[in-house]
Amino acid sequence: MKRNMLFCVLLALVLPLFTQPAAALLSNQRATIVEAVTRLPVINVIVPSSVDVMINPLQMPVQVNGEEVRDQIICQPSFIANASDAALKVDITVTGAVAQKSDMQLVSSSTGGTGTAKNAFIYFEIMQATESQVENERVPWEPAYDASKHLVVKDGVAAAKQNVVTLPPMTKDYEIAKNGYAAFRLAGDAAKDPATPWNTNDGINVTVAFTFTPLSYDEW
Amino acid sequence: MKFMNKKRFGSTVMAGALALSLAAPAFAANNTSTTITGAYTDIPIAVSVPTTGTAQINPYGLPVTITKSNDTTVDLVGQQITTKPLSVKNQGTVSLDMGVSSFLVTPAGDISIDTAKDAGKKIAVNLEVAGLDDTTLAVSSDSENLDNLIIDAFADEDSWASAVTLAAPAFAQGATASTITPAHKDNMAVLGAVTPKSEGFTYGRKSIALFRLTGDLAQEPTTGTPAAPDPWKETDGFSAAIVFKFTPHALVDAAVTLDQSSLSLAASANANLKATFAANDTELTVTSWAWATSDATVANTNTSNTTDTALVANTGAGSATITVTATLSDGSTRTATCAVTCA
Repeated sequence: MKRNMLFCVLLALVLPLFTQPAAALLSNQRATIVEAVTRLPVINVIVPSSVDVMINPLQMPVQVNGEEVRDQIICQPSFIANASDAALKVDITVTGAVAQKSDMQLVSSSTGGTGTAKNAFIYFEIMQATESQVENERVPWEPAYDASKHLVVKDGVAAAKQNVVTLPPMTKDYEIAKNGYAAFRLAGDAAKDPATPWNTNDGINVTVAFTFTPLSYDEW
Repeated sequence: MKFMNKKRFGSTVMAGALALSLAAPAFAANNTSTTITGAYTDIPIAVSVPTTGTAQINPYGLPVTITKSNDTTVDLVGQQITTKPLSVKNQGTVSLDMGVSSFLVTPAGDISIDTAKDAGKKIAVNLEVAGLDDTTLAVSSDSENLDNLIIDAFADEDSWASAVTLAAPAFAQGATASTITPAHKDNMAVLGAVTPKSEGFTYGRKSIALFRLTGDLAQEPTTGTPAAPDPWKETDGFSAAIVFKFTPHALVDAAVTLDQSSLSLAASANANLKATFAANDTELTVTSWAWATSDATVANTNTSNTTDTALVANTGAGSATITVTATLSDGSTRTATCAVTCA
């Protein structure tokens, strides 16, 4: 019994030593521990999974958003929206593929609507958009192809462009910023009267891959 | 007889003892001494320091929103290491010098600490301390708005313009803390005293200092050769242990200085002297300036001039002393002199 009591007393004396901080503070010292963890940006961009494009070589009238359009390549404007907490730099890669049963060809320069070959010149256009442009689906597109801004769609070949647009982050109220959108479309032209007439087998599939890279606060 | 002898003996002893006791002051008069016993007395300091804080490794410097008690928000932006507001408050009636006796940052995850970042996950971490001088913070200790005012000051980059920085020592990944010598630095800020009142106290405009961790790190870290991406992970982090040290601050009086303590003027030449006032630890301001010369026939100045700048003209060969006197808001004066030698 006496040994047990002695052991308990010793334990009571020794235990508090282990509960003291490694370096005891003097009376004029105070300690602070600051714990840091990594904050990773949440990248959340709304991207349409599919978009329709119409090849309209004969420039038949087509109703788009209540307006009659007679373009040879008709594509309703589509939008991506940045719902991330970081500003994003957008890179794109565009890869074209002619439909399997089609004998049309994708060419690298404008057809001018002429020629006997069943050629189409199609390019990808993307630009910053505002909330009102999204709501109205009206975008001030470039009037013509511009090699510095647009990407030509080629059959089986990927074409890439870096930093095509910068999307600001969501607002403090977790809403998409007024200019946190980008509009894109396909446009171009086609031979109006090729030797082999256009038919329903003619078509293309275009894969657009968006790459989003966060920008630091100071960069935008 | 035997009994009488005992009584006589006792009387004799008592008489002797009494005589000795009366004589003591006379003996001591030639050998005066005082014994002063000294013992260390701990003087408690009243200072409020948070025991914990939080920070983020924020490679893209994304905004960190701080919500105040009135539901308004402020953003901390553009900082790769973002610290939530931290402050130290002097709550005593003695001004304090604030230093850091130990600063050690222990890395976690894939991180290591160094004096400069590299392309990988070697990061630099600094402790910044900014003493405030802000009349809006001179509020009562029970003010509900004080925390909000401190948050505003913390988010304002101007508050950090004169911050004193202490770099964390290098700490390699996997090293043990016992092998690292912590960083330390004295006099990182001065915390002004508070003014007691019937209940609590009122902070002075300099009673509060802010502190934060800042740093530098790769936005998109890489590893190996050729460089392969090594993205940041949520498990990457660190723990910073800071031990602040407080010592009573020796108050520095207001002073006036001249931009030149001696001046040589060629014949017929003249020069400007500019006086500068430093309030230092006082609240004093200058109410008027006055200029005087010890010998107007050697170096002359306009004694009616009440600005902080004076033109001194050579009026004859010899030596003279120009004195500027600043009269301060409490009626006291401070002077500075310039020894002028004229050719």
